[in-house]
This record gives sequence, structure tokens and C-alpha cells, in this order.
Amino acid sequence: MTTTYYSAQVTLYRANTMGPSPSCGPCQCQYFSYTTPTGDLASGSLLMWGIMPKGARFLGGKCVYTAGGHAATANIGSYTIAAAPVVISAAKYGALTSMVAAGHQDFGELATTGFGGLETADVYMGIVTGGAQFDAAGTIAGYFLYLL
Amino acid sequence: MTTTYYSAQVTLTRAGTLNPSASQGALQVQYFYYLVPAATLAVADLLMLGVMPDGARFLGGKMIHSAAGVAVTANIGDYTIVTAPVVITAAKYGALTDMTLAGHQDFGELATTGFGGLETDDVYLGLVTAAQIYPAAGTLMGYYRYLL
Repeated sequence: MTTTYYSAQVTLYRANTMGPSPSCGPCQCQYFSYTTPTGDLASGSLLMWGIMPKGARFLGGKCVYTAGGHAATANIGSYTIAAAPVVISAAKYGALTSMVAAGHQDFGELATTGFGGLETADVYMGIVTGGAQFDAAGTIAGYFLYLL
Repeated sequence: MTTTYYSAQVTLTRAGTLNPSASQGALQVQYFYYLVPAATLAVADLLMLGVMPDGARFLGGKMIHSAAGVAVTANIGDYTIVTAPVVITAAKYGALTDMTLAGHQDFGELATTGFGGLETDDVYLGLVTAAQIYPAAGTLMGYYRYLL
């Protein structure tokens, strides 16, 4: 006889103990956009995309960008919400590979890159560029999804 | 010292002036489905997939198609909502390449194909077929995402 298993959420549902959040409900979406400055976005720059609120369950995102002109990469992490933000986890939500040509990349869609994680405090989601600069007057846009 | 930058949305949040409807909220998903009639879809036929409401921010979509058997392509654009719709921008949301085989294609996921754009009026999102006739009994379905 085959065995039937239940996810953590179905287990809670069967026990009548699953609340509507943070496992089920309307998917929240946060859009972000940024135009790179005249002096380009130097390697090592920190760009805050948006805010992940306390209690949110992260469900991945997408970054859409114009041609960076160089093989700029980026780590996507979490930062304290402060006047001088401090890194909490530098690549918590994954990384972007070369942005030399215009394109789009999904991020945060692995267990190792934050998918399904619950935030325990309000944090910034931000990227630190690496490898090379991202040319001036480019755009970096996208969105990330979460349940709350 | 590295520089910290903020997306347009974080900048507005920090200033307390973010308009949430255009940048964050429940992600809207419009599903569409079409069964090609016995008369087939001729080259240059126009198929309206759905409506993009005034104020919506477009965040890309996906087309799932059955095998056309021939190299049908299509531009995805916006059209006025009237009895005889008029094209506004024929390939605003990008294009579909060869649909000879069953498959799926993302669309509208570049800055040049409408990603992140705000609609300023209610419009149809539609496609115009090209190159070949799409045979009868095929299916075209998918979804697109937006914030409103």
C-alpha cells in the first residue's frame, strides 16, 4: 500500500490550526525601479529595492534590467532599516549573474535563497553590485512576492 | 566607502509619500483562454486576451500554446476598448516566437516590452498573429500580472 504524506500546511489544516496567514492568502507584490546615476553604479554599491515586512513569507521575485554594459553581478540580501543600513545576510535572497546585456532573472526561488522564509523584523531587501560597474542611465526594476 | 542608493519606491517610502496602489499590494493575475475555431486564426487576425485597467502596472505574463504545426508568431500589444478596437502600440508587450510545437513563452519581461509600465486608460491586451495560419482546435491560454 502506498503511503500518504501531508505538507506542514495540510497537517495544520487537518488539525484545524492553520491560520489564514502566512501560508495562504492574497499574494503581496512589491514593485521596485531604479535609474542608475550619471556616475554609473559602481561595483560595491548598495541599492535598496524595497521593504520586507515583519511576518512576511518570501516567495521569490524577478529583476528586469537594461544592458549594464559590463559583467556586473549582485548579491541580494537583507539589511536593517536605519539611516545607515547594516547588512543582516548579504545573499539571503540569492544573486544575479552578469547583467552585461538587457534581460531578466528570477531570484529567491530555492530553499537556499530564502524561498518560504519568514521575516522576523522589517528589513530592507537590497543588492550589492560586484564584478563591474552598471552603466549610467540604466534601469533596474522588478518585483518580489510574499504572503502576509 | 561604498554608496547606498534607494529605489524610487524606497525613496518615496522614506519620505512617507509612496502611493501603494502603483507599487505594492495584492498581485492581480488575469487568466485567458481561447480555443481556435474551425475557421482557424488567419495571418493578421487579432485576438484579445484580456483587459488592462487604467492605473495598472504591468508585470509580465506567460503564454501556453498547443502545437500550431507551422511557424505562427505574434505581436502582443494594446488596443482601445471599443466596438472596433484600434491598435495603440502593436508590440508593446513583446512578441511570441515560433509556435510550431506546443510550449510556453514569457512575454513583457523587459524594460522594452512594457515591464513596469503604468496604463493610463483601460485597454485590451491583444495579439496579432503573423507568418502562418494557426490551425483550428488549438488552444492559446496563459496569464499576465499587474498591480492595481
